[in-house]
Amino acid sequence: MSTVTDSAHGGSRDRVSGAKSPRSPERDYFPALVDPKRVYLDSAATTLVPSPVIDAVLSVYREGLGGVHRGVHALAARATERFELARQSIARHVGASEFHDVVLGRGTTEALNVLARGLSESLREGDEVLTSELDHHANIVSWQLATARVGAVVRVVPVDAHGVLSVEAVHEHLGPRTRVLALPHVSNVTGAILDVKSITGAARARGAIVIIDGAQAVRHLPVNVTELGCHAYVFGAHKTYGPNGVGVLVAERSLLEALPPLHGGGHMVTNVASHTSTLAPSPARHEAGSPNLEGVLGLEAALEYLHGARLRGAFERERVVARAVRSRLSSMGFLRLLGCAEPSVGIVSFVTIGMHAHDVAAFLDSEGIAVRAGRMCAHPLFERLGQSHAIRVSLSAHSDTDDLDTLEEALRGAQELFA
Amino acid sequence: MSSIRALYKETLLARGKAPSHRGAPEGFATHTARGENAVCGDRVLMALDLRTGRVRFSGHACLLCTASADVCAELTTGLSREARATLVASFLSALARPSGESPADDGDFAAMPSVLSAFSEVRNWPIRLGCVRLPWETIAKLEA
Repeated sequence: MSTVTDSAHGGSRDRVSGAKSPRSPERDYFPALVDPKRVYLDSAATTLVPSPVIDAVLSVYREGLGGVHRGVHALAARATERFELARQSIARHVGASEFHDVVLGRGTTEALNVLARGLSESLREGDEVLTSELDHHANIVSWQLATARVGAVVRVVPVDAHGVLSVEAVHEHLGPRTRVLALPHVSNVTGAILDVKSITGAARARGAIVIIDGAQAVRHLPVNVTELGCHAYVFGAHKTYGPNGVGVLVAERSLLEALPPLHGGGHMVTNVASHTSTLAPSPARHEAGSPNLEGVLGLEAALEYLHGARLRGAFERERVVARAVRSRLSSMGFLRLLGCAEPSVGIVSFVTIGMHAHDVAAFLDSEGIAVRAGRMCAHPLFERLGQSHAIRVSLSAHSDTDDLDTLEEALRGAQELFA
Repeated sequence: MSSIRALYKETLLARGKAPSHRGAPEGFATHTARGENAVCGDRVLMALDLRTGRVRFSGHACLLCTASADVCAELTTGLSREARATLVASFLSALARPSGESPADDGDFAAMPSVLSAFSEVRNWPIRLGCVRLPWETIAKLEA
């Protein structure tokens, strides 16, 4: 539908028929969007938080909950029950089986470091960890640090000139020394979705442990880790409409039981003597210290919100808006989109010809539009694409055509000022 | 937040789009210093020809950083090391102080070359301070 912005009525208006496109109904769930002029297009960095999540977080403080796994009083018992029920809910949401455990940590980056550091204990000199040029720094640097300790090698599957990571390229790089294959489910720059299922079988057959970074996937796609066939899947709450400070590592129990813990402290042990301790079974052995109860309950609420949004058609609406974003931005002669892989989610990055991304992003901000500018913690990808910076537009369940109209108008305004 | 056009004054736009002091051809510099803003990816190289006192810059940066580098190169050309250090310190100090309620209150910038006052508005845009500071922090690293 070709639209023009009609701010007086709120929502876009079709150029031909004059029919008004309503704002996304999901906006009503987000207090940060009470200002109708606010256009939030930076969910790939961090998502806004819907009211049910805020309520869940505050409930911990209002009810006085605390002392998860640590007390015998009613408040601690209630906190522990809520925490474990949330763990089960999170497990169901991502399709974890009876053979998986869900470890609740501090974020995606921490989860990747838990895996990298722990698995490095079993790597030998010359063993290979395979990542890609499409990866976020969290899934690059963690493996660089881990392999350097033991003389193992990080090999990197290149993307093509369009920033596409092909399944064929991954298969070609699997070798006899590949012990770990760690890849992104969705690119945080191009939005491209990797066909994980087409890779895990071959990797497993070679004895490689498959780890998938789902940080950008869970809020856009239905994720089922059992069907994906990977050994471990990680994602974070704050990119999934949840609070900060919570990450999920869902992995096969056999892997987690054999994995040395990254952190030592309370709860992850069954017995501690002065010079030796007995580790608790998974998942506890990877959850040292007091957990972020409010964060975990917030993530539970976020995933419930996401489930409801999906039933309300939000995923499909977001796909429609994403197609419109790609179509309309690619028709603007002073922009060039990065990457062209399909299928993809609503993450679109582009370079601004004759203008620096930072200047354009500042202009967009002055118009109430939040985007990301820079290299998105993806330096190898930008190096491959020959770009030093870009702007990224990342959609959410609450994104709508009105957001796109405002963005398009502001981009033209930036061009008038800077070009 | 103040207007975007208050930040991107005509002076800055002109300097950023068509800087006069960009380009350090091979053999120009006797001393160089490099700077990078890891947050936004701005990169500058400040180049000094100690024989003539000329300063030029190169690199890839946003419009604000480019304009700042151009002004930096212009104002530090011909200065002794001590005078350059004094100017750099004064400008960086002025950027660090909150802006006054009116331009008349801006004693910090009034005491410096007038072209620097074009950058006073960036104090209302803390996230962009690094862009303006980068060339000055970089030239401060010159060992001559």
